[in-house]
Amino acid sequence: MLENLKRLFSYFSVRSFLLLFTVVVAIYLIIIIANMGGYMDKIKESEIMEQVYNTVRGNPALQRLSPSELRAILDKQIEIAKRQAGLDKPFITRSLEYLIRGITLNFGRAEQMTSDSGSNQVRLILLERLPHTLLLWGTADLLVFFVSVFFALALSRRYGSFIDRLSVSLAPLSTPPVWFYGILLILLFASFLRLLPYGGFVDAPPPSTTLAYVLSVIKHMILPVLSVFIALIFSSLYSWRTFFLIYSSEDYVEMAKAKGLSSRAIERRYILRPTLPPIVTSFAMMMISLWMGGIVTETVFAWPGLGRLLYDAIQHVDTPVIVGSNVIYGYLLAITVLLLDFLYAALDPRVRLGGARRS
Amino acid sequence: MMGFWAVFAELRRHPSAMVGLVIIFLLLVMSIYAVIRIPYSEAVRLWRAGEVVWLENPRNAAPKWYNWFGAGLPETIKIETAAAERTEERVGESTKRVTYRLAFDFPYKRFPQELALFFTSTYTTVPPQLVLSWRTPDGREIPLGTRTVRGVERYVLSGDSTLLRRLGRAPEESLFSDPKNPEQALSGRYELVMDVYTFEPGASLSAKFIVYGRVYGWAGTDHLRRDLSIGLLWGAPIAVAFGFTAAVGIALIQFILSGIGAWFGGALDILIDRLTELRMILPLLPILILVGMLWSRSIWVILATLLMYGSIGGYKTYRAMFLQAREAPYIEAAKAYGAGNFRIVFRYLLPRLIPVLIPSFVLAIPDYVFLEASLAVLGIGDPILPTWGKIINDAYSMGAHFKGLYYWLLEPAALLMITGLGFAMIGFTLDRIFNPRLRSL
Amino acid sequence: MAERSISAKETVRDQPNASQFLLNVSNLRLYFKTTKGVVQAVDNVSFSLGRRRSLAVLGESGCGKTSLARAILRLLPRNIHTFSGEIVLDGVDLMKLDEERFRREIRWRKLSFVPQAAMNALNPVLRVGYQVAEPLIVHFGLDRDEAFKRAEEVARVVGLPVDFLNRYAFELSGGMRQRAIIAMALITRPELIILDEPTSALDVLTQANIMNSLKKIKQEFDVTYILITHDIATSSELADEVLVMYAGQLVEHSPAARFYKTPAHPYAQKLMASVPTLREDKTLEFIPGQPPSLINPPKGCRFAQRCPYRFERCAEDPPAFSLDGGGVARCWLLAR
Repeated sequence: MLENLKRLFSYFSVRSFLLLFTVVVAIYLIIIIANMGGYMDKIKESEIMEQVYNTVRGNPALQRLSPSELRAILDKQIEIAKRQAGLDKPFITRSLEYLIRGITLNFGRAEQMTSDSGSNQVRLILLERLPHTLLLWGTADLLVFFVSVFFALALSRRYGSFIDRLSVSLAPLSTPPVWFYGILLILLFASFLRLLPYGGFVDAPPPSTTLAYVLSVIKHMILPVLSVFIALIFSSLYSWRTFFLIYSSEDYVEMAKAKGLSSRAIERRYILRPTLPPIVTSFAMMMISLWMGGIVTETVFAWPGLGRLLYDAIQHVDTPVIVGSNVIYGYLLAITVLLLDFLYAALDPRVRLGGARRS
Repeated sequence: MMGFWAVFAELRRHPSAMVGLVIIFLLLVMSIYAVIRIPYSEAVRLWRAGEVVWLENPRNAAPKWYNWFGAGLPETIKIETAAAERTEERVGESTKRVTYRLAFDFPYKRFPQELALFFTSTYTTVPPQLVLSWRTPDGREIPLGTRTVRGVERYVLSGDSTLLRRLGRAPEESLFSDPKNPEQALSGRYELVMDVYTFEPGASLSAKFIVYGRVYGWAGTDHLRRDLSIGLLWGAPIAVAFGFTAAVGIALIQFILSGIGAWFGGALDILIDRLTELRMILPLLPILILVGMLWSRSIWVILATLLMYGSIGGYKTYRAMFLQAREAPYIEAAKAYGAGNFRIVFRYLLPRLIPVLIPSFVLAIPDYVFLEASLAVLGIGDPILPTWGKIINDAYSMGAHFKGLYYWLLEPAALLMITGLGFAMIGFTLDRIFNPRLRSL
Repeated sequence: MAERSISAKETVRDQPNASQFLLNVSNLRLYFKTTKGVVQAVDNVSFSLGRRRSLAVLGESGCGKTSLARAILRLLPRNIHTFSGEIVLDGVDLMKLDEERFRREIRWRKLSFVPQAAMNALNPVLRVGYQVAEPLIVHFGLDRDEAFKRAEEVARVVGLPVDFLNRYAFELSGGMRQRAIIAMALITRPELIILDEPTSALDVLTQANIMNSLKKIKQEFDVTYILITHDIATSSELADEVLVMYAGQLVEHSPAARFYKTPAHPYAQKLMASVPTLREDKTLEFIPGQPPSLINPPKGCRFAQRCPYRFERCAEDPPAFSLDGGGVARCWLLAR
């Protein structure tokens, strides 16, 4: 048992390390793209300018000067500061510094946006919105996963039946992205039926008691989660029912039947268990596209998460926030990949024991 | 490997695939029609032109077929002085009065949306003047005031605050309301009487009176009075072209690169693993947004970025297949009898792999169509092209869902959905046909 | 003699006395529905097998021997057209049992199965030891520790090193995996073990080793084998009786001693003639042509087309004729 844990742990560490490397490369790419538009430089420049202004303004000796003289001194100081900061150095060196900034989510100040707490530090703005995104998509992911595995297993038992053929033919309904169904649901439930809110996180003004607050949040989560559900359930059912069907025709399943195991036991140990690893992988892909699709969906539902933030940043042309969002999404995806990799290893002994010890 | 016609025959057995094929066919017809009927440059010009081009359309009008369901929405009525009843009278030395009676039937119970007069006057120094009055079907006469018209002018009666104050109610309602039933319009024959006074010989005035309806065309109009059918029609070729090009491009690149990778093997393996991981982590949509904001929003740039993104990963499936196929005995046999590499690759390897390629390729097309729509909905779409996503973006930002302008959202959404479904139905059926492990079930 | 069944959960027998035969198969028919027609895989096969008389079932691929095994084991696909006849195992007609009774009373308690080594018969995500012990837990309610102890005992018997039980299937070589599967089949001490080509996917050395283990088991335990194979040479190591199938029918069933020297049926003779022998110098023969399709089998003797002794009588389906020295064969030549 201990041997097992040790092996799992070493696998986990190796994977994290490799992943970290990839994350750094990814962030570097993002920084480069951002700076092709000259943006990282601009962030640096505005920081420098701000510093210089503050020093100059704080210097009482310079207060008496005329505006144009003041201007000349400011410009000169900015020049010096820029050279000191290395803005005239070749791109490679600058980019490395920006890389460090990127990794630590240090993007300076937002141009126009502020966080709820009033700060306009990009990092704070990003981190403030993160929990909302996690709450919504985390809940939706888990819901879709468990419901579809359960029903896909049931479907695979009924291969060729009406319900099976029906759900297979409904698979194409998963082509539209989540936000598409979001809009339809809003039109139906919010606009036409007036049953559920158009969007947002909680009622305005927010209720005072904790219970009412929680209920209000749940009420606001219904439509977004429902859109995710509708958008993903059909194709999940199709893929996983197909997986189960394929894996049920494996020889060891037949052996289990020959051994006289009950269908319950066969389903659990011989069909579900071996199929879980590929299901987890396919689920990882689904989660990744969900994070992406979440951007437009949060916009549509005015849900105060990272996606909506990105949309607002586009509207306000607040580039530091956009670049920062890219990086934080990169982190989010990396963590998703890591978690699911770990889950895969825990489920599939072939992976965690790394190559057969043939005997 | 099944021949093309065998595949087709197989498809015929699945009703959903046939529906999909019909949809794609209709989509292609629509695209070809759009391109021929309204050439690209014309479509772009129409779509981006401001209100000037569209001025005679009602704003946010519903589609005409709303009336099939008994909505009773009025259509736009246009009357011109050139076609109206005209009497001329000499009033003074060089003053002439021409009276136009612009008469029309208004058979609706709902009020029109807007009233506007478009004038064109010609004169040398003294502009013509006119006196307007209104005649209802039940014989009431309502004076509308006087105006001086210089050159080309547009007089929006329904936006005239003086008129509104005088009538006590919005002009488009008060001029049409039924005294017995003030919330409804009185149907019947109306007349706009224009007494035009010209003070110079040779001066003249012509006018067009537009009673804006609430329906227009088969798709309605948007907030800029644009005929939505143009946007919807042109959305088809753009969507199909983008989706198809992206899918083909990425599939080809991945195919070729994974073939190369499989050929060399070894260290390339590790590189490919890391690259695939990199692609999983790079957030596609945010990066496209970044590119759109900082570089260019043109659809070509988006396409190029997409192709670059697609080319750094996704090898695994193809690579596995290539490796498997490479070790196949008949390949060895071919090598043994001296077939060249080229021949092996093209005659033996590729045909094996196509059946697995095709379903995922077909299924990828709607994904890219929706990706482009996503970018448009976020506001990063191509600014000049009329795409379905852009229409949804317009509708949503103008609050169509609050205002009950359902058609504005539902029409592009329906088209997107149908397109996606069409490809998906074919794709899923192809997957069922080609997936070797499913066939044995 | 080694121990018999482990627990006291005996089944109720249909007849008060155990019959003298362990297995009685009468008029067994197994037909499949396919897109091309109805495949008559097992066509009216009848035979009896005494206790501790191991049977080798020989024949070419597609002759129906695997289908025969699956019929007895009730491991059938979905597309069954006909499944009729009687299979009386130790006094109980298996055909009369519903699925649930079959599962609880017969599967792995009276009857077990060793598949081809090429099959991945072991669950990749469960430890091998668990899978070997599983039948004891499921059928006899043993707790894990007790079941694992028994698994270790039986692993020693088949020559599987005990610490391999802690591993996963992919960590074992083909030969070791097959030993594990044999251990798994043996652990509940069933009366009948059906082996389907147990060594054909293994290299010759491993084959020999496993055959030795099987022989040892046969001697030490009270078990009867039905060995399905196309490999005539190895079958001779275990068989007490031989049953030859051709085109879905039984063509000969005789004691092994007599069969390997003088097979009665022309097809069996041809089979033996195609096996190389160590000490004689013989020209190997082969049988020209192909077995007939099982979808619309020809009337009359099915081997007639390829038989060198064919004559007019063969147009009629031959019945089973008794042979001197025991056994039967279906050939008109024996009518004289």
